[in-house]
Amino acid sequence: MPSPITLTINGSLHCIDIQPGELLRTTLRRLRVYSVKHADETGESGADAILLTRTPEDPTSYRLVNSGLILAAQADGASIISLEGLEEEGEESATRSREEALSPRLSALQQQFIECGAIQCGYCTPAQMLAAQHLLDKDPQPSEAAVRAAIAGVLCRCTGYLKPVQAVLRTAAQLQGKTPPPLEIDVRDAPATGEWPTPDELPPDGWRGEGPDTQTQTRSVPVTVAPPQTQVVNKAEPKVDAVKLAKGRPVFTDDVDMPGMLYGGLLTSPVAHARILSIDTSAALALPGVHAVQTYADLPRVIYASGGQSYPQPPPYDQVCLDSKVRYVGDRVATVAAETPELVQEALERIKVEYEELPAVFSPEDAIQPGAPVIHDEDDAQMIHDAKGNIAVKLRVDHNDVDDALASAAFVFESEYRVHQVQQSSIEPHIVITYWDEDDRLVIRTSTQVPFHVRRMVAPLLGLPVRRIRVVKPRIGGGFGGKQEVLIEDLCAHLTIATGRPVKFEYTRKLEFTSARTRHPQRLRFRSGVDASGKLVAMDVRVVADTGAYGTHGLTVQMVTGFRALSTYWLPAARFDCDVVYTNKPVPGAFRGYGAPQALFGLEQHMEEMALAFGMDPVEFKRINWVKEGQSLPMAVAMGEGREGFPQTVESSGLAECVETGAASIGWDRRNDPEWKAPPDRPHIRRGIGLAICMHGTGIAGLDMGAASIKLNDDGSFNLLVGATDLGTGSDTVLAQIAAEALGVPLEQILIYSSDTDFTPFDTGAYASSTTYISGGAVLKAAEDVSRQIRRHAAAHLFDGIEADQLWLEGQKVVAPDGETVPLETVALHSIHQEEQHQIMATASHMSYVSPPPFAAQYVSLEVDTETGQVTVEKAAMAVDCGIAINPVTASGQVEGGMTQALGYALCEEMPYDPNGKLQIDRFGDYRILAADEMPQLDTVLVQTYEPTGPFGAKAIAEIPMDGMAPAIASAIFDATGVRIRQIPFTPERVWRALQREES
Amino acid sequence: MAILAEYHKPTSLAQAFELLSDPAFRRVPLAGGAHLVGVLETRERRDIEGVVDLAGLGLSFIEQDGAYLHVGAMTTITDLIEHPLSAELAGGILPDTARYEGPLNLRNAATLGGVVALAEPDSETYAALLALNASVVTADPNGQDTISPLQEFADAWPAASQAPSLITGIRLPLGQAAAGHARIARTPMDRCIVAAVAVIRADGKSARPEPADGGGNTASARVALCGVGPRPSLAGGRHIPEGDFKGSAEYRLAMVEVVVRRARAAAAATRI
Ligand SMILES: Cc1cc2nc3c(=O)[nH]c(=O)nc-3n(C[C@H](O)[C@H](O)[C@H](O)COP(=O)(O)OP(=O)(O)OC[C@H]3O[C@@H](n4cnc5c(N)ncnc54)[C@H](O)[C@@H]3O)c2cc1C
Ligand code: FES
Repeated sequence: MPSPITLTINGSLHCIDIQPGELLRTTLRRLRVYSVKHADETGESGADAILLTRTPEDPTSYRLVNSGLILAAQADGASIISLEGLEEEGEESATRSREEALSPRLSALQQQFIECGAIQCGYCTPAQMLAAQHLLDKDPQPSEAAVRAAIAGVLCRCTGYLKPVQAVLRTAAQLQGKTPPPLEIDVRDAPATGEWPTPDELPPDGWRGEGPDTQTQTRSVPVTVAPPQTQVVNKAEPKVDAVKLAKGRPVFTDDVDMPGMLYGGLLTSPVAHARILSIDTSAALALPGVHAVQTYADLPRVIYASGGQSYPQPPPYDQVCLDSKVRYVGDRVATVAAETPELVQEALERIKVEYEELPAVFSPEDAIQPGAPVIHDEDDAQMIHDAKGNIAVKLRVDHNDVDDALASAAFVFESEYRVHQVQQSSIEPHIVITYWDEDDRLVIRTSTQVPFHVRRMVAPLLGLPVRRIRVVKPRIGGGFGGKQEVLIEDLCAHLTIATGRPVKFEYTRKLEFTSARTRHPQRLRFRSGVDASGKLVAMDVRVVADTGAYGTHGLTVQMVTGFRALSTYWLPAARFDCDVVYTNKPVPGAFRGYGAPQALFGLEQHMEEMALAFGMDPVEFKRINWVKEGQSLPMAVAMGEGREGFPQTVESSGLAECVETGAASIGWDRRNDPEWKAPPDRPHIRRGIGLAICMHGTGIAGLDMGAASIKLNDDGSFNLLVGATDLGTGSDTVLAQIAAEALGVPLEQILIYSSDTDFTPFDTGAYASSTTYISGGAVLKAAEDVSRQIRRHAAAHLFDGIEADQLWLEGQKVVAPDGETVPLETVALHSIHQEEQHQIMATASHMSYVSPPPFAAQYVSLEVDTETGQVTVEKAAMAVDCGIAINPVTASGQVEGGMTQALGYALCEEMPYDPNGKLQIDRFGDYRILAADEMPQLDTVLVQTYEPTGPFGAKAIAEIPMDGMAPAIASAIFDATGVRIRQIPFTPERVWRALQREES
Repeated sequence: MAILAEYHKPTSLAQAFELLSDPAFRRVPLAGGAHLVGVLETRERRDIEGVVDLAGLGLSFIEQDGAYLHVGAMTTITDLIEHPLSAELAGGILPDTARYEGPLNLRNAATLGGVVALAEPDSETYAALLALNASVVTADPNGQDTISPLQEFADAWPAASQAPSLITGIRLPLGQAAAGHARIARTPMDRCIVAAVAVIRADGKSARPEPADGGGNTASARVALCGVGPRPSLAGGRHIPEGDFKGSAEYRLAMVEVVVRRARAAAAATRI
């Protein structure tokens, strides 16, 4: 029964009817307080935190609480402040001047968040800023520890917390009347190669300039080739989407109200492997307000693969929207559309399903045994390598004769490693809204990394032609690969088709864990040989990977594993042999790093172990073997992504410099200090430092394509339309910077929009670290074309006797060699309205047959508690060669956030199952992603090289920070204790057991 | 998706008991909601029709009562640890352990009564209460208050009988004491796998022998453990941990000696 409550929200009194079970978060969002975000049901994310009090007359009585863990009824009579309320502080809005009303007002905190790059996807930002502002109100000069504790209850999956903490500390300084030091990122001109600063030339304070004591400083060291002289590119421009995110504006999929919208829900399988004998939906349908219940009997059976990839999808094709068989706990069974979320839930609970349980298998080892239950016994699946044997994909790649080479090697070494299943865990869950538009076209508003793939892939599932589908991607609250998948768009669209109504379907956090995507677990066996000088002569890599119940991304992720394992070091002969095996477990897919973190966990330890066994210094051993500038990558040809690849040569590499700079940052020499390694006052502690080398790719050679359109407006500004999807990484900003640079205008003259399949040109989407390089290449081409058109028009009509190619664009003007200038606005007005009227506009596409590798050195220092096995990381330092950093702030943000996720992979994130294949975690907390108050010190160094094939010299940076952490930690644990642990995560018990084994 | 038919906010204990005693409705007390709202929302608990919000009962207070600190059940963890008396108690063991209960936004909602009622096996705050030799004050429908030591209260909670009872407060003995705390967790701020809290009272340092239980706990030197049983318990006796993905039973048992030793040493090293 609804009952009325009153709430004072940001100073305005509201009286609203609520249901007894209604959450305060729901009520606030009903009142259009959209900055309050849903991320989970149990409160660990804190994305819905607000400030609440019952005694508003005492401003110190406000408390930060999660609005999703309070019933609205409990808050009756309370006063609430949300992010929307922060900006109204100070004068009343009525007294604002017209100028103020026309330009957004930002608080000091919002400004600092923007300036510092503290906002990536922005989904956690409102709660994080509110928590920070609350602290500053109470404690105007907080310590870094106090800042971290204050925001610790708001989880962020993107930033690694460093920049948010920096922003809060700088705000504090600013509010104290101090001027925080300029946020300078040191980009120096290039000396010739070889003139790198030696460690003792580093500033004695270890690069910690004056100013707030933040745990991290980002810096760049000189480039090997001078970057071009630039105005916008290679500059720390604030993100183009930062203001709306800093203000918590309604920009995400969920932040719209649609009249008549229904809610969607999914019933999932409670058993790991079963045939559905019957489904009785009548009791669910009998509930008034339930508009549709769909099961396999209601939907056309169309076979597909759900991974969001280019046409044709890599095999196998082993899924249908809803099936009469379930293959893991969490598999899809039925969907519901109803008037309220509560009705959806009641309806789901009323669906009666009769299962015929089948034996299930939970490890690849068991799944490939003869007589194992067959997971894909349906007869319409296509291109499964060996369905009866549960092998989804088999990969075998040979480069020269490995057996021969190993037979003649001076020394052969073999070792095996295991990596586990973890999850992307973006703070914004998967969410979709579908509806029919006025032209009977189906609109899919979805939080996706791949809007164009979604449109192409759902069309056959829905039985609609592509032209009747429009996919809109609003802002995305993080993806990390989890949204490179057609995960729920099809189900939601089917519900709209069935009901004719708009339907919103959002995963709960529990569904995220059981029924979204994860990282592939693998077992990796390495066998390598070296000649007498320690040069590798061959490497043989055997991988058994677990693809769970479906094969999506199974082929390509494992191909990347092979490529990374066999390309980081130069190999005369190499072999990759891999089985991708079905099990009755939740499904792995794309996750930042895409097979590389798995490969490198094995490879880097294998190399280190081999060096020690061979009697060589591991770093030296790696150095003589790693791939160098000018060397080819033979495996690139053999291993494209699911198809033949293209020859690759390394054009740029700053790896040697990365290794050197990183060593200085971490204090590598402490490895030789016995007092540091075994502190006398803490006898149970051992300390160590580890290193891992990383090499990644930049887009998929010969496959990824991005396109961009640029249009000149009356005032000399430009619309830039891209299909690329900014998931919070800052790619919209970087693409706009590239356009601004090429068009000679400041960043604010570029109005970027991404992405909508009706309005923007195609892009494969945000994956494979491709956006800056591939989509950026398209933007550069389009901008150059527009520039040509502008100069041609100007030369023809506005300059006297000057050729178009003598002109250039600079400072929003067309400039002639004699110094004469014509403003862009003049060219725009003239070309549109006055003479030879036409729209100056260009569309360009870009693809690349090369995928230049970024390189990095990942270092960690840590301590091991030898009595308990607990590992505590003290510091993680990564030096990355990402080519020229188009935006050093967003680039370093990628590194910090990536390292933080990688720390979770190595230390604490885990998907444990009970013996029946039921996941034992269903909430954050149990699935531990690191919080702000438990982070090690992070140091990022951008070692810039110039990549001749990239826009303005850029390569990728987004994924490489994921790759080296686990092996670096393994290496550091070994350095600390002498014990080698070949399996992640390094939980206290695993480390303790390894230490026990060593002792006995 | 909290599916709930009723929300009540009584203003007297009598009203609260009336609501909770009505056999026609399945109602439970609602404190901060930090746990209960979550389990309703996830449908982990489907047997609840109504909640009885305890916020109107005047149970949020902290007062000194002779040699005791009397804390109302609805006092939030934040209010408790920010109170000067509790912050001083045994060298601040309550704030020290409460940091690990959860971050600020949780501590601002969760109540001491909720912590005691839930008795989560990994609640270090609960272990601190045990080590501090706290007592629980409960009320029953007849208006009867009962005070029982926490470890005894825990054995009898939740009451098997039909008659509801409510935790109204916690009594903490004041007096000079030192405390130590040791924990093992996957990450520095994660809920613990195993932890120990030791409290040594000033009079415990005297040579006078005291009666001790199996774990060597006396009235003035007590160690409580997390992670080795269904709820935190005093060290000693039989710990039968249940293993899970954070740590097997074997590991948990092996760690008891380590954390107890460390917590004791930390307490002993603190000047009272
Ligand atoms: C971010 C976050 C992280 C958390 N992490 C964990 C975790 O890792 N592990 C874990 O176990 N828990 C966790 N919790 C839960 C936490 O331990 C509890 O939320 C908190 O201690 C409960 O206090 P409360 O006042 O909110 O109780 P409520 O949720 O209101 O009530 C909890 C239970 O106690 C009963 N109860 C409460 N007060 C009384 C009383 N005075 N008399 C009788 N019965 C009463 C209620 O009926 C209910 O059954 C987490 C919660 C959050 C928000
Ligand atoms: S910016 Fe924090 S979750 Fe994305």
